[in-house]
Amino acid sequence: MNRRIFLPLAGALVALAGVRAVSAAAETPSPDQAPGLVSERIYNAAKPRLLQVRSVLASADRQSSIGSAFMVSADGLAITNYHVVSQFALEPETYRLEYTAADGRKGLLQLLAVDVADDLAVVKVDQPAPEFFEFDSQALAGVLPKGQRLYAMGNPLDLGFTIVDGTNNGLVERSYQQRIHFSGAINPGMSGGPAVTEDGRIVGINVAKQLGSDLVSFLVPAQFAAALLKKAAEGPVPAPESFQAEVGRQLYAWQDGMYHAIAEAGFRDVASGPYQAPEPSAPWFTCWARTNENEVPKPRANDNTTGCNTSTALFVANDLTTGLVLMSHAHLKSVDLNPFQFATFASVTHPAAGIGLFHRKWQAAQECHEDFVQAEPAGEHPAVRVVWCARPYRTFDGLYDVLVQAMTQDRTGEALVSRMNLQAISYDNALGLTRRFLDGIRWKS
Amino acid sequence: MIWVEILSRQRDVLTRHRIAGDSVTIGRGYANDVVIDDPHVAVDHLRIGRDADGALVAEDLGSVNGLYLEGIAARVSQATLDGHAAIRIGQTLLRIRDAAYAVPVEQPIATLRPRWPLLVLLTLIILGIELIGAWRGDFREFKAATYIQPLLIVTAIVGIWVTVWTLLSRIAARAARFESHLLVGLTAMLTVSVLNEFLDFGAFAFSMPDLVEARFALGFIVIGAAAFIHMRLIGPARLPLKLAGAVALPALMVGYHAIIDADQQRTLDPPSYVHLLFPPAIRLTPLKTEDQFLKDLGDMKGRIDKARVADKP
Repeated sequence: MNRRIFLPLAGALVALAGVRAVSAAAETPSPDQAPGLVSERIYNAAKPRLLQVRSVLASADRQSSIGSAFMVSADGLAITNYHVVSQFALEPETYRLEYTAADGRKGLLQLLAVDVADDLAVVKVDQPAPEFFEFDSQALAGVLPKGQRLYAMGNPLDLGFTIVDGTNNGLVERSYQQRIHFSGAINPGMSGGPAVTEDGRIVGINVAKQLGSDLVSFLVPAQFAAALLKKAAEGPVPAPESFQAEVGRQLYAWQDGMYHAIAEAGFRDVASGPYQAPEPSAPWFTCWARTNENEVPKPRANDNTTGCNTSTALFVANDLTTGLVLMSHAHLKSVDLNPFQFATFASVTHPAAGIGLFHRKWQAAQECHEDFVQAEPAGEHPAVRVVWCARPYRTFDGLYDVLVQAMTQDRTGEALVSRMNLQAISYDNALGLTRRFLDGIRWKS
Repeated sequence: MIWVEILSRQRDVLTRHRIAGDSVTIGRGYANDVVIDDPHVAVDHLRIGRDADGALVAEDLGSVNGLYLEGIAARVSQATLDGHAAIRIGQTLLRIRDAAYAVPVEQPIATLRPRWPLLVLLTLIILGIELIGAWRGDFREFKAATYIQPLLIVTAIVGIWVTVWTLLSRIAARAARFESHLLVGLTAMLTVSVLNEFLDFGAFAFSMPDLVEARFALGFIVIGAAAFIHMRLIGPARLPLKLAGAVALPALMVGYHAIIDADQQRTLDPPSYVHLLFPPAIRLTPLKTEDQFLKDLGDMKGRIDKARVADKP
């Protein structure tokens, strides 16, 4: 019965939206500002400055991934995404980089610089470029007005160069990485392409879209591209083999920055039953809660979990995204379980496993250490049983995926199971956060 | 008077011939006192007589395959017999004794204490441990199968194990000895159950995940020991060989397990931590300070880094 009521309602909503769209179009003032004409002008100007970038598997002479790029200097420098060139950057002996221009010219690309954190790369084509894009000054200053019309270009799905329009919706909130929220259709293959204003100046670089949503896409702000371009233009041309170590260095620096920012933003205490535990205050964490209260059959122990995690992950390679941080606290309380059953309930529902997928290409085996720990002063902290696991990255020196799980040991039918997942973190940062985390698990004051 | 006993390979007497007089001939031909249907025995193979002291002497009558005395590798043409060691002609084992051979004194029949109360008690203890284990870990809604299934599993394991040994016993020793085999089987099962419980408790109580790993090795040591006792029950012959088998089985299985484990260490990323938790009161290891714990974690870094370098792509 309920479903039937919704159908006409939904129909009314669609009709309403249609009317609004039409009226919005009707309000557009001058005729030469009609969307079709603007995008035609922009595309015609941009066409000779656009590139399609192909990662080619050298041994087979076939493309293995494609993306887009755009010219930014007369001597042939172009900007694209790091993730478009990541195969070549990490495995230069297996892949090579090629470009195809809009007029069909082809050639080899040289990789000059990468910025893994902001997903950018600077490449150089093998001939000078008479036409190239310039950066928008408002974008460089970071004061792009929300609602401004933007035009994104690239070669989606290898269908040919394309222009789509959309709206600037400002910087994404709750994200450690700065990204512009662009309401427009960005599709695979357009990565690395430019997003420009109506006068054709660069405001961002197409980077991603949100799956399971409509027209929610993301751009890397232009100022990062300008900075990387400056670095690439000034520095010497690095050897292709040097990029893997460079990616490792950037990952190391990135995690150092992020984990220090987390520590700097501080922690707030959340209460769970008789305990309180730390939660990160940094704004780019998404916090949530869940309960098993209304499950069927009726649970014999309550499980109320709250947690916070970062929502953005760092693309490193096609089969490696990393950098997720999670902190969660599960307050478990027995309803009618005896102490042994309660302990089994805790071990089965909250196993100390799962730092993320294990990919042997990127990571070596993890090792765990566990013990019963009493933080000082003993009057404020319950004893906890801590399982601490670390899994080293094989390719990137000094980085580990770390899992910390602490279960309070002061009661028989009630416990707090606190957990931290720290991906791609240095050992020292992990130890520091572990101390902060354990210090924060205490009895409610 | 001379007794000629033809023995099986397990040294059981197959047939026994009583010969009046002080001399016996043995061979395949029907002119002999004792006829043996062994194609490797000569028509006239052996003569048993007495020497000057009256001791029994065996003498090869010129056979192709000769005469062998138990415990001596080389062929002999003549041998003095003590009634204890067997002799071999062809592929047949013989034992020669005379009327003076001393047999052990009569053994009183043991008071026939019934064994079933002990067997029932052991069975109940084993099933009880299983039931308590199932109850201890049952945090879900009640399902009868949660409790019946472990009982069926141990019953099946012990049942199959004991049946196999009883059958082997029946074939090799011509005596089933079901109760004895059942006693051994139940004792082994009980040992494994108790051991598992202690390992689970200990792993949590001392924060030693390796104890859980030891379960496999200890289990196979118990199985090896049980197999040895079963084999002894079947017969006392070749004990060293049986002992070797009982040692080799767990050694092989533990070795195999270690190899598999080492392979998995590199490939499967198994989190090696204590999976099964117990109430806080079970903890026996002292509480560490936070500093000590973090220091232990710091010490672990070297191990992890070394393993990372050792695991070449």
